[in-house]
Amino acid sequence: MATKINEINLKGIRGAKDTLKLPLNGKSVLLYGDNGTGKSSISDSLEWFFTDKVEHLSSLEIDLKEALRNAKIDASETSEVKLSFTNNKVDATKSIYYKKAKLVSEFNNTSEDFTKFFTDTKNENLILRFKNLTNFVDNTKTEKLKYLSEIIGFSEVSKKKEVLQKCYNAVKSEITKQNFEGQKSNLQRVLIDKIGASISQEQNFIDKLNEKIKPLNVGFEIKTLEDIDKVLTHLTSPENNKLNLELAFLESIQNSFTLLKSEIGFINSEYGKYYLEFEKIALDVQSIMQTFFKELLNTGKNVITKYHKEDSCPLCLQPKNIEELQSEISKRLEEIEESSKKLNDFNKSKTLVSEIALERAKRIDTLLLNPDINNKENEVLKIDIQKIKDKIGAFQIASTIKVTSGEKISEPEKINLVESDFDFQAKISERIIKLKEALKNNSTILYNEISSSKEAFLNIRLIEKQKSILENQQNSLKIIYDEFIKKQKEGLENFITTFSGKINEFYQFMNPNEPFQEIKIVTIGEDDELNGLTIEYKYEGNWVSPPQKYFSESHLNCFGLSFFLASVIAFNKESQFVVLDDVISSFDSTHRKKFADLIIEKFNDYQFIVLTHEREWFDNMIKPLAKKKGWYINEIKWSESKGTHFNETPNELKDFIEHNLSNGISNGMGNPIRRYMEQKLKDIASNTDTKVIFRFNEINEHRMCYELITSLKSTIKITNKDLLVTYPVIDRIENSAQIGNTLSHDNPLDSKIGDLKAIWSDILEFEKIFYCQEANCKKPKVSLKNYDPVLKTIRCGCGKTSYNWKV
Amino acid sequence: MEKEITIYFDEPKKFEASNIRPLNGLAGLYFIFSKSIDIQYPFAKSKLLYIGMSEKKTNSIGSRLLSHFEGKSKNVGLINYRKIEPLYFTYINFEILQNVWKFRIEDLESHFISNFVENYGVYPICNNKTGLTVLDKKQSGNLKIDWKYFK
Repeated sequence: MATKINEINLKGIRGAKDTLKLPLNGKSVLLYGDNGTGKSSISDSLEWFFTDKVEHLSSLEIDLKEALRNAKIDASETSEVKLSFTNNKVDATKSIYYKKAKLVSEFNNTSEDFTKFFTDTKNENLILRFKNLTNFVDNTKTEKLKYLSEIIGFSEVSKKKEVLQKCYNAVKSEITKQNFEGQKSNLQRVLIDKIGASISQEQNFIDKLNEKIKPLNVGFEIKTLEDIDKVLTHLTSPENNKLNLELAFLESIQNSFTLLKSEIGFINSEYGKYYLEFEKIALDVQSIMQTFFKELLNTGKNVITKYHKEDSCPLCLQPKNIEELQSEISKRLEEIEESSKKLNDFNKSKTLVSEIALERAKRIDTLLLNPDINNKENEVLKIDIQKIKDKIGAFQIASTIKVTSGEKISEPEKINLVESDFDFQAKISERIIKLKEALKNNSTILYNEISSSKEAFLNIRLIEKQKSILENQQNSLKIIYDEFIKKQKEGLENFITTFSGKINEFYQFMNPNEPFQEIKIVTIGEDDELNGLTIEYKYEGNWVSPPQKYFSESHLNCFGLSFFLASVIAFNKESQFVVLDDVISSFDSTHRKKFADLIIEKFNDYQFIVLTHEREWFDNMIKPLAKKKGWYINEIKWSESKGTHFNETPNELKDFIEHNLSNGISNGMGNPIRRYMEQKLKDIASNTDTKVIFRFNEINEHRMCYELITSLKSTIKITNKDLLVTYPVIDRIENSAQIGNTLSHDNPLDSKIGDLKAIWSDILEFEKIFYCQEANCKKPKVSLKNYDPVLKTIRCGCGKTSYNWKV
Repeated sequence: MEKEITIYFDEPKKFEASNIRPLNGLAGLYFIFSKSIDIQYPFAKSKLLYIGMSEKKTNSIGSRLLSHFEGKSKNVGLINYRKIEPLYFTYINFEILQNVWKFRIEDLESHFISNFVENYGVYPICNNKTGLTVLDKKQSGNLKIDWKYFK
């Protein structure tokens, strides 16, 4: 439910020394005040109430609670902001007071309704001040995206996207690192060598083995992979076992290094990429170091945008043009983003090299764990293997060097694997040939072929399984990621299109017939990358970005206002009130007039609290429009004794009476109260067709309260006498109407303040019977014009206030 | 006599981008075939439609297959067969034959195609029939191809 403000009541807050009461009844208000009268006491109080901070008072040197309290009130007094709303469940007072010599603050409403209202309203667009008009325009493209993302919940979505991307990249990197195709080819070569076939399917393998063992007449056929062991048992002879094991050992080493040799290009190429990235970064360490300043610069930017307004650097206090400083910081932040991207690419290639090296080192370690490597005949082989392991280790070491350390990593040509590193394989081949020669003419060679091919085949299956699992994961993640991005972009773009449409509508309203057309917010980034947002418009038929290029200060401010108002429509769900604190200060007169038209014409459903110190705009532009729409209008003053207060002579009779009564003034108040009551009774009598005795015109104009109320009562007795029981205030009004006798015209009743307040309270209560109190009711008068002949009821325009009424 | 090598094919893969993508960086031969349509070749029926080749890793099996998949290769036959029913593919990584095939990858392709012609009487239906150099049989080694796979 959208909520409006019924009353703002400040006590001992900012400029308001005593009580500053602003009755609104859900209506808009226009307040004029010269500079220094404390207009902003209202906006500051609301900002503090809803956000627990006041942006222009947020500085390390300022204690907010102390700054909020009126400087002249006693330490024992409580300062408070009391707000009542159209939904009275969320009425609340937020106080500041001393507790054990420390200022504390608290809300008096802790209900669930209020907590929800407070939480939901906290991030809504409630207050706009002049100095914040161009905040969005001045932000970098990334900050713009961040700003809107946080409001619309898009930043949470982006975080999820990053997680998905990381998962996808991790799987992709694992597939690259494992080099499944390389491993599989190596094993296929083993199969070709052992059984003369490249095979990856089980039935092909079984058929081929059966073909192999056919001449042996073993007496059975291989039907499953398990059957292969039966054949091997059949072929085993103890005398050849040792030679056989040695052959298997050498072949496994040979195969592993054949695979590694086939990976020379792959490993060297990945290292080459890493080396180039390292060099690139090392030559520009400064820019990488800059990334560490990102947070500091963002904070600095925040400080000079919001708090530090002098032409000096807030850190070293050296003289410096503040706008120049701001633009330099923005530029540096953009550069840092570039550097962060470079660093990210570098880290990726570094991780890949590290993982590739680690994987290969593990494979070599597995070979070195075989006890046969320690046999005397394998001494030289062990040294050769160790040498390769050391070379692989060099890649690992290179991947651990910090780019910012100033150290260099080995040049590729010094570290790369080369074919000659594998020359020792020739010696292994010789040994294998000799062993095969020794085993010739017996079944052991067949044993070796079958057992090696079985191992290779099972490994191929294992590799294919691992590969398939990872590829399926990769595919699934890609589908999820692509769909996610699609939806994310669609969602954001739909929102931005609607949002931009509103901004453009408001901007064009304030700037008709100007060359800046189709103003919109656009996303920056290709494919799935969304880097930021920018603002574009058509200027003489060409797209222009950023807006600062051709916009004057006044245009920029118009954009800022349009952006804020579009945000109000897009994002404010709980609140339906907006405070505009001196927002038109640097507008030229054309824009000022159009701005007044805009809020009056386009925001009829919203409650505005407009504060201004621009006398001409107040008097000639917005006041006449606001008056027509029934806004409250008043002026804010300041005096040494009262602090910030409203004009003592309010324009409206009701405001005048309320003001005087709240200030304890009773003298001369009888007559204004009588006049007010007379006005209301005449209006009610007219609406209810209440008949009074005929008088000639000049007398008719001077109808007294008493005869009006008695006539009204007579009407009520005929139409619905129950109303007199339900509303005893009608009788009380009749009694109070004595103040409306002839004497009171020139001899105001000199009642005590308490009596006057009681009478006034009755009048207001009485008024509520015949005027609908719903803030959105367009025709609040309970009138026969809205008579329902079917239900026989008299009612207001919206129907919320309705009574049985016999006519 | 040189040892005979039998070439069996890997499990068929659906002709889809997600199956093609992992083959980037591989050089070798690839085979595109139909799911159920038997092509009546002169000597026998086969589902094989096309034998293709990637000669280098930079123009890999992955990128060649993708170009067929996206229709960029302009192979009308493949495009139209795919309209009729889903296609499958399999491939041979050239590296597995590096110890037994001493010729170029192009020669391997020629050998496979001429062997297909020998067994089926004509080129695979979607292969272009020009520019093929048939190797001397002695030179071509002793590769036996499991054409049954495409039955």
